[in-house]
Amino acid sequence: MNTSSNSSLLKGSLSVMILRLLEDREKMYGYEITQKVKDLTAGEMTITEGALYPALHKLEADGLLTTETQIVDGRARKYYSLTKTGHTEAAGRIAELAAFLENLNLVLKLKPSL
Amino acid sequence: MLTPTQLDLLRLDLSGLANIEYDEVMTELLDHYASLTERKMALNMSFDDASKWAWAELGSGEGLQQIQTDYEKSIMKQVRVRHFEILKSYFRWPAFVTTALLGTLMYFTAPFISANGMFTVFFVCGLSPLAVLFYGHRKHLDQQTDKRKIVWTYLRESGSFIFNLFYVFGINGLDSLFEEKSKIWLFQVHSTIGLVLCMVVLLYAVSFIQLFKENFSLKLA
Repeated sequence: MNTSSNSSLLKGSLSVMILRLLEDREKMYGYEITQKVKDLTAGEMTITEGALYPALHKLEADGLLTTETQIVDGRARKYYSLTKTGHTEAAGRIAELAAFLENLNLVLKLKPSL
Repeated sequence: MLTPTQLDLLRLDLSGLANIEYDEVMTELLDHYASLTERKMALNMSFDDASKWAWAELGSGEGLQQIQTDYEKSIMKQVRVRHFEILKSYFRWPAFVTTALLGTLMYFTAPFISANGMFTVFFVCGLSPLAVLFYGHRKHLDQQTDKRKIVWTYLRESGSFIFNLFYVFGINGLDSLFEEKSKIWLFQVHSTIGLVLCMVVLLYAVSFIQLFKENFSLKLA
């Protein structure tokens, strides 16, 4: 997949992806999120650190994520998890994006008129 | 797993080459940098090569600085929004009634107060936000945490702004009018306006204290 078009498509959906991943797992840290996305998409989609951390910080500022720091392998690691509001918001945003993608798919699969 | 010395080297890269100065950003980026390095080292790459690869993967200095800039911006935005909310919460009927009562009292007592005395009181009021900042700086409150450093920057800018505004429009304007005591009604009116301005500035100074006490945690960015 083309990286630049990939990243522009990612922009709008990154926060939803983060919320979805955190819905699935109790808590995750930054690097883990990037790797999980890479694994799930077989390397087709990569999240850069420059996009990931501002998105995480924004979600935290909006009260959707909460953080805790633990010492792992001799260094501090910041884990993100969903707040109560985050859980509710995640469900809503995921449903919204899914509906949008469904509609987009209908348009993309438009058969040429005879 | 990296050794403490290797972690220190990575930390040095982040602080020296990317100028990462906030602890929270440093914690997050160091962990990311170390995780990337470990991944390559697991494939038998040397620490030097693995860290070089990880550095490039992280976007080198510029990309990392951008993350820090975004962090600052995010926190600053939250501080600004919260400060506005605090100020808005002050301007309710108790503040209006108190100001109106004090204003009325000032209007009737102004003829008995000297112009110099009045000017001094107003000038001291105008300095109150800066006095709060000065006290905080003396106590090193501005250096306690990353977020407080950013809040402090906001307060410093905001404090200077309100003082300049008060000085230019309030003090300077009133000073010349105070000298003109022949028209006593004019003096009364301007003393009342000066008092209202003082109340606003004092509330502003109190808002600084409240804002600084709040715990922004990207619950500030």
